[in-house]
Amino acid sequence: MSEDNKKDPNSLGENFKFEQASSTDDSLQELHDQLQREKEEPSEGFAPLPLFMVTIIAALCFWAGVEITTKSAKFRWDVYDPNYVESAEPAGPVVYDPIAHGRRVYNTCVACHQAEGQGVPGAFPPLAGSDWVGMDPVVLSKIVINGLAGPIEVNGVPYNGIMAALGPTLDDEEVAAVLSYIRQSWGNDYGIVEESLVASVRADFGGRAEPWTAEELFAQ
Amino acid sequence: MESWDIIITLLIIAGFLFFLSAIIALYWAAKNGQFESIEKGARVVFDEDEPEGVEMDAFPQSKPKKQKNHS
Amino acid sequence: MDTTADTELNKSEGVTERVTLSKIDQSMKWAGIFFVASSVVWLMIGTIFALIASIKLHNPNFLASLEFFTFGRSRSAHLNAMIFGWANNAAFAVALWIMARLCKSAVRHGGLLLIAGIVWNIGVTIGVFGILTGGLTSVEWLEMPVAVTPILALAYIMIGVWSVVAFVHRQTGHVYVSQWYVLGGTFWFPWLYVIALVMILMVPARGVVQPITNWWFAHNVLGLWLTPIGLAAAYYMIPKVIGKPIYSYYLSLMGFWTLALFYNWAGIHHLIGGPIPIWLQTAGSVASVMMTIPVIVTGINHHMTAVGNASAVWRSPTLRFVVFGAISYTLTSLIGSAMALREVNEVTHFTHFTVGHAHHGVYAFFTMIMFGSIYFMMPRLLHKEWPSANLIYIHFWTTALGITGYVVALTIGGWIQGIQMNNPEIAFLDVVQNTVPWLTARTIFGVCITIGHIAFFIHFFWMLIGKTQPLNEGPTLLQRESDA
Repeated sequence: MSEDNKKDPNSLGENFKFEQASSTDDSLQELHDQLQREKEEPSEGFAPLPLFMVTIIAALCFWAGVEITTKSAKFRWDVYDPNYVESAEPAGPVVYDPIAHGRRVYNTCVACHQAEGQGVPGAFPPLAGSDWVGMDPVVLSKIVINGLAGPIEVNGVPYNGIMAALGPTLDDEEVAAVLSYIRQSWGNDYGIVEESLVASVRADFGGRAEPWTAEELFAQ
Repeated sequence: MESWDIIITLLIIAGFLFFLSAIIALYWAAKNGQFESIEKGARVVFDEDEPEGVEMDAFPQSKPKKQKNHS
Repeated sequence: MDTTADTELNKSEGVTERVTLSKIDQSMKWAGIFFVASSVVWLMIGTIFALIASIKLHNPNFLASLEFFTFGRSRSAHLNAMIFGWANNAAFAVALWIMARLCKSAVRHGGLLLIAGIVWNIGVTIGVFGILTGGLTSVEWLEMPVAVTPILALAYIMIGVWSVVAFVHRQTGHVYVSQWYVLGGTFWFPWLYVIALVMILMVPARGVVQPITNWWFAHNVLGLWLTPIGLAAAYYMIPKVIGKPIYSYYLSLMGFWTLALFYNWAGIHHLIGGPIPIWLQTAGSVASVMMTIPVIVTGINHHMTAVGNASAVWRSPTLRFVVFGAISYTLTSLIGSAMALREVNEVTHFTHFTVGHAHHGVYAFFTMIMFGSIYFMMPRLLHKEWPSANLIYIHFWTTALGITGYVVALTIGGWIQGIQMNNPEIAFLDVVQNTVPWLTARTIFGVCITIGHIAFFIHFFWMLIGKTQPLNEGPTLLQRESDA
């Protein structure tokens, strides 16, 4: 059948009768149909991606873009929250709250002076409504830093115990904070204590090894 | 420079080279004509011993079906 | 079957001529047998530890007096025996064999490969033993004591280099997609392992960089090592057995390159909601979802190639397993992409859902494909037929039904667990109690799978050791009717 492949109309192949001028429309059509049914030679080419794949990929890329831009907090290393929104005003300096700090530091004192500053009768003096709490902050700082021992009288009630020195445990800020907290809790209403005052007390008396006695404190 | 710094530097360089090798591999593939004869490429798994159109596996002691692929 | 191209390996010139498939198979015979045999042994060891760990979760008193089998050790031993013992040995065998066949060059220095395999298995043995005696590192997927790393590294280098050498000496022009996947995996695996080892165990990074590295590593062992090997096998086996080329080969290449692009980032999805920068979490989620592109593409290829030939798939032991694996791949990957979305992750994280998903990937996808590949490969290496069709049926049905039940049980149980954990009204102990029936179901399905493994184990060694069967005229062995 190789003759069929020759397209030269002048060749006298087997079926040359189809190419005579007298061939009918029908026979011509049949020939053309045969030629049309012939598949193209397999050729190598670029096989395009199916359309639905293109759609899916495009949709995914769009989604990915949105996700990355909205949920990355601008690639900050210190943000873990996907809903992070940078506030309009720049964050101001954090205001230090000595009372809140003091409340935490007071956990050191709660074992003896109790949660509401009520103390333990006969053992530990109260802080709530105590006539000592309003004293000069220098005196209070001395007590906290170096401790207090010997007989004392608080609100008319005598106590004779030892309060340990907390100077080694608490730094100046913590001492100032806890004193401020005590002076403003449980009905007490006195001024806050500044860290600088505590620092100067520690500078003068921080090296003292002995706890204060009442005579020493009020003698000065 | 502690050992950590040295190591992380080396790893970052190595990582970058690794990534580069992937780019090079893709480029080589394109240059080498790997993406051209796609139809022929799919047929690389067949050859004279295990030709296209013949089923290559069956359960043991079963009658093998020798069906030519008609598609 | 001698053709003019069938010449002997020219050792003096170091030149490989095009050799017939059977010669390639024979050159890989001993290394292949060793790797597959080791993998089957490790499969049984890993299965035993799997059962122990599974039972302990709903019956904590089981073997409680034995220090070796405490849950932490059993579970870690199971994981490492399965990944580094079963999966890697099977991966080496199948990947090397496919590479050799597609490169049309016989294995040179097969003895070296055998030694590499022995060294690898010594390393894994010491490692698993180290875990059982309490020396585990407590880093997920890196539990084996650090001391075994040099052993594994040495073995891997020998195997990996072999793979590359085979590729360099290939006799074919076109690089088939399976070769791309095998080469990719060959390069990716040591990279992952070294980075994780250095940054977590040797010169530990500070703080959360460690878990970030850990999960990048662990997920990529699945995604950039096991997945490529599994896909390489599927892309070879499906067209080979059916006798028709892959449905859309162009799509398969695209699938490879998009996998290479996206998979690396996905591992962070293990840490969604954790104290790591949100952009990293988003990258993990986005990459995991973008993975649907290569998954759909691969799915189209595997399924459309198989779909018109369902009876051919059913008739072939290889394809029963491989097509099951391919379907599982699509399913588990799509579920995985969904799990990476924050809303879903809030429920599934820290639950058995993740465990079910992990086994869906490693078992229902990778392991089943390895089973199928081994069924195809061994007769060609040994020139023997598999002795028993019944054992294959048992193996297939127990593992297929077993893993399906396993994954369904943990998926449902894990989802319930997640919903309940997010509900502050429900006490934690109650949530734990509610998981027990699902965990018990898991053990039952695990026993079902174990039966299949026992059947496979027996069958494999029977074939190996048993007498040569009369050669079947079937297409499993490269004998044409004309040669019989």
